[in-house]
Amino acid sequence: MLGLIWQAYLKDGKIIKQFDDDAQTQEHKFQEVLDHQDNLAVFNLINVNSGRVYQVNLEHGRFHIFSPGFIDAPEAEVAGNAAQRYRLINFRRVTQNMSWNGKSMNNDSSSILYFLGYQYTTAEGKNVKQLLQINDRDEIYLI
Amino acid sequence: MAATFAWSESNGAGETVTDGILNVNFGNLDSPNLSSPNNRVVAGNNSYEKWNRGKFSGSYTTIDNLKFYKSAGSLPSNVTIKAEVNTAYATPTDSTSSVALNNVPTTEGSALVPDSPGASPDYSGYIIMQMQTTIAATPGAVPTQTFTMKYDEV
Repeated sequence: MLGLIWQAYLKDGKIIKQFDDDAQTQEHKFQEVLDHQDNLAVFNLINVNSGRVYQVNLEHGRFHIFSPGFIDAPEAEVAGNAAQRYRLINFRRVTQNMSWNGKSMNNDSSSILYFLGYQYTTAEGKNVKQLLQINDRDEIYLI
Repeated sequence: MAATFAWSESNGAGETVTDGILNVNFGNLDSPNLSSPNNRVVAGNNSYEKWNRGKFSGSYTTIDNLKFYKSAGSLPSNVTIKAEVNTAYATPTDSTSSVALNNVPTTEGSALVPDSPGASPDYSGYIIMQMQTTIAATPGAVPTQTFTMKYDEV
């Protein structure tokens, strides 16, 4: 089971969920999101255990991290800028470890980190990237 | 769901592929899932090459940015593990490998980069390893080594 799962909200109101069920057996491929990249409004990663939502707004270029409940509107300083065309970044980094003690090498652990962000190209042609690294304990890094 | 990962090993002249192997025990026999203490490598000899791949199945759009390296553990004196990736399959040998020529990397920054799999199900590029010893190698247990495969998935 994945610790964080995604939901994509399109500008036309359509929602694409990674899974149709809580058991994570009916999965939609991320390709469905890529097929609507130019129509993406908001993309969420949701921690299935804590409920925390990591949201990237692709219309304004901003992050929003929150728990379900009442949500404040962003002030002007963090509202973002709708003048750019923001492109989604989303992937999981999987680490598979094997230990070998001279007798056997076993696939003994694995871990997953989640990466969420956006990038855009300035008028000068420079690519700008903003990225979160998230684990399933809700520990985050931001660059 | 998402991608399902399993280690795979290829053996023999006709490339017998075994998916979901239980271990990668270096030994004096070209076979998957060798059991200890059989098939020991005597000091001064090499193990048979191991030709492993990651097998990716299940639901994924893209698997890329693969990295393979030894992330923990030190080897005894006169024992080395040579490695290479992405060579076309050849029958594993216990002669000194002409494929796995360099010590397996020990940092992520110098990691080997296996080829990425295509659409599910598919394999990574081959990871070829061989344990090599000199006659001066001390018989006995080898400290635990940790090998790491990283990849990005969507």
